Amino acid sequence: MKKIIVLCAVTGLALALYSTLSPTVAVENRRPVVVANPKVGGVHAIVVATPFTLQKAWTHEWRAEKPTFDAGWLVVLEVDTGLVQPTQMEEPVLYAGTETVERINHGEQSGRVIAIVPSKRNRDGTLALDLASTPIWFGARELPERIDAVRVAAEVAKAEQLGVTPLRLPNIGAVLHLASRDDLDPLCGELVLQHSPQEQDTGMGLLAPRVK
Amino acid sequence: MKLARLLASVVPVASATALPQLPPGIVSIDLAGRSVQEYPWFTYERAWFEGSSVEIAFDTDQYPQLVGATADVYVVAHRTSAQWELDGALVDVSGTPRPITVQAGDVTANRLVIDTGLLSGAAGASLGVGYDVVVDFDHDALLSTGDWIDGVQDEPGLYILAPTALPGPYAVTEVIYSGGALLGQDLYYPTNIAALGALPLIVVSHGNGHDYTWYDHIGTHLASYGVIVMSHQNNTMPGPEAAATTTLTNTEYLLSHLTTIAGGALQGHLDTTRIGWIGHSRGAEGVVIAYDRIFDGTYTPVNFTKQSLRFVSSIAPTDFQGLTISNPHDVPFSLWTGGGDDDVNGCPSCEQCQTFHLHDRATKTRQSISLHGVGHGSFHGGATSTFTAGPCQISRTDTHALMKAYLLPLAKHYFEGVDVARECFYRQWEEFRSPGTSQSVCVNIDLMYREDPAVGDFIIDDFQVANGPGIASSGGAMVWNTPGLVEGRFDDLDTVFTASATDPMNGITLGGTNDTTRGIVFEWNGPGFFLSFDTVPAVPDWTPYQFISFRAAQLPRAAATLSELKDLTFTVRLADAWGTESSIHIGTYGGGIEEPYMRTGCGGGQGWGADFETVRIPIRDFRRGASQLDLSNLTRIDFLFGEPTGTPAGRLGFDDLTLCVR
Repeated sequence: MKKIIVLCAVTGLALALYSTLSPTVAVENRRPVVVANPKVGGVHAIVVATPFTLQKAWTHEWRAEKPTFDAGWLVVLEVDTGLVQPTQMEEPVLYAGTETVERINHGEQSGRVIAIVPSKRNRDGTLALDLASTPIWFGARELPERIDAVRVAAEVAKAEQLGVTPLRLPNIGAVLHLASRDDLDPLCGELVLQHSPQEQDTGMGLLAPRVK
Repeated sequence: MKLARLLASVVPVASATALPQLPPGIVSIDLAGRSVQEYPWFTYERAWFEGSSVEIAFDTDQYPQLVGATADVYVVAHRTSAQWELDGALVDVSGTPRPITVQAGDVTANRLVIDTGLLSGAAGASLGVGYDVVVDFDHDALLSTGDWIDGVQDEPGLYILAPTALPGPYAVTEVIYSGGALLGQDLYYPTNIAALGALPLIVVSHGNGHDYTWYDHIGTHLASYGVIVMSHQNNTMPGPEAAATTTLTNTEYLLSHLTTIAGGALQGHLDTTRIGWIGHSRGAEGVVIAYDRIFDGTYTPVNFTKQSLRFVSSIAPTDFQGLTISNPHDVPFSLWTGGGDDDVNGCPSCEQCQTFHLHDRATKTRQSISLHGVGHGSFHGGATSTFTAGPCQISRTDTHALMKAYLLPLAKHYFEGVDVARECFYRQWEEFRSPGTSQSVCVNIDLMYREDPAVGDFIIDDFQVANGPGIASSGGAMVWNTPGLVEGRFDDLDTVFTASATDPMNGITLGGTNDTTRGIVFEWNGPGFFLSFDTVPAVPDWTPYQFISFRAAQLPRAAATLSELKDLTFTVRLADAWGTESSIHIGTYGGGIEEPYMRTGCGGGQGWGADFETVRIPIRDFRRGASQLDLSNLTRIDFLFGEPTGTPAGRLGFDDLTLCVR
């Protein structure tokens, strides 16, 4: 753990945003909210699901085409720890429907992965991705940055064969309207500290004070 | 008879030259060195760590006129020739010169300890304190006609290095901050930076599952010697390409926010023309990919230039992207490999797990440090698994001390041009190690070092030209009687380290599928085996060169290796056009070719991947004593294997036989 504590990291904005999440991320609430097909796909439950939008789009480095997104879901997933052990080699890739998911932490001890699921937007600005009808699962080992649409399609087909189905959603918070991807980091940091406290350095690192 | 007249009759040798800037008759000559157990009995050196004994020696076989001469030997603070001209007074740093009478007999009769380890290497934030050695034959306490000096111009006779593993003189300030998503940074700089001018920058890019706050050992150590270090949030989970992007964005972010980061402490004190990148695992491949983008022109830096990057260093790198992308090209490149790495483990079943690929792709200066028993996670400071497999494991604390010992010379050489730092890149651990590092018998280090070809080295054979093993790449003949000699790509052909007659390169992972790095392998089991290279007619004169250099590795799990499991040695012999020969057993310098790290897995048997190490032999050592070898007219270099010239049996990989100018 670092000698320099950065608890002062959380900005006023982050605190305000976090307050909207806290009801769904209580530390004591470690039980999966829903377990659907727990033995298939390696994702046991969605513990937290909060939609967000970004005024400034962000590049999704987790697939080969590097699309941009300006909306998505900030989620906390209960996962099979055997699938998230850190390694430099290829790891199981986390999918949500036809998109790869950005993982914030590993969760190899806690079994909780904080992640960002990119979404397109509908014409009215709402999120196009309906998480309630979207399966989330771990596919084959690969570098996410190598995953393209062809590979996604193949993984979706495999998941369907395995019987991966959507997971029931927990209570969903209000949509967070954020200026940029930067504003997600403090939220992610808090979620890491709450749901995967063994990864304290990761959480604290995300809460580092912003350069003015 | 005046000694100056005696010296005038001495047959000149390569290392003895009159100095036009100094009064006539003063001889510049190597004097400082260390005794060795066999011929050449004494070898001249440039550098010692504090606490080591320093000797001088007179080779009366080469200078018989010296016998009977008396002198006072001074160790003095280094002066340039101009300074000596202004002031020739001799002031010994210990207060008293050492009297000597040159004896009859060879160099073994005329060795004198001039320091028992008391000389200071305290160079502040720099590396190495220079001293000159003067032999005052006329006892006048002046550097004057007839005297000998080791150390002139900008090159001292010897350097004493303070322990490179121990902290430098500056207190360090650490600041953690973020510029936004994937721009978390952990910054280290000397607290008194305001008084230090413009300092170089090292950027640290962590690996997958690691954290940017886990590199205190690098940051605090180098900042205490005047280097700004910034370790950043690295986007490793998507892969090394994404990591490369964050190396670039974080470097740019720091350089473009100097007025605001750390309250503006770095403003005016960061030299954007001196930058080094250090990466770990996926991040170690990432820093190479980032350089490749700049080299290829697919990325143009905004706040620095390609030339700003003085070196790139990869700690246990992956190699997902292969030859065309994960390529250091022309940047000075340094590699770190942990023999106990249980993640990027080096097994040939995993192409992306082989660290040495990146090293052998580097086209200019390149160096490698292999540490037996060190795990993947031992290179960082996080409180997580060290990911270590194998016997005799090295702790994270001991690993960090070793890293510090080698990182400081790396920074000082590439940022400040401290030439003596190069000694740390190739001298064997067995005889040249920083105090403050572990003395455990488990610590085994293999160093590879190759200079930028532009310095003027002459390659006798690097086996890169596929013209068959009978002709060296320099064009001379190569002959041998060692069984099973094969020339080819240095890439284990199958997926295991299990010994196999059909896989002659077994254990060698210097090259990947598309790499072209080549060399030879061979073995022996008994006396009388040799490997010999003819000197090409164009280069019979080796006097411009300082060292014979080659790299070699014992090959794991081979019966010949396992039969003699220890440092492997052999003898190098030079022959001139007059039939004179001179031989040196490489073991006399300490060490040899290290035995494989005795790890199991990756197939049957015991012994991990081949750790090549560079051996450099001073060419002038072949002229020690009664040797009349004519270094200006050499015809052949022989390597003699088996008893009595070396280890009775062995199996070797061998490459890069080179004459080095420095």
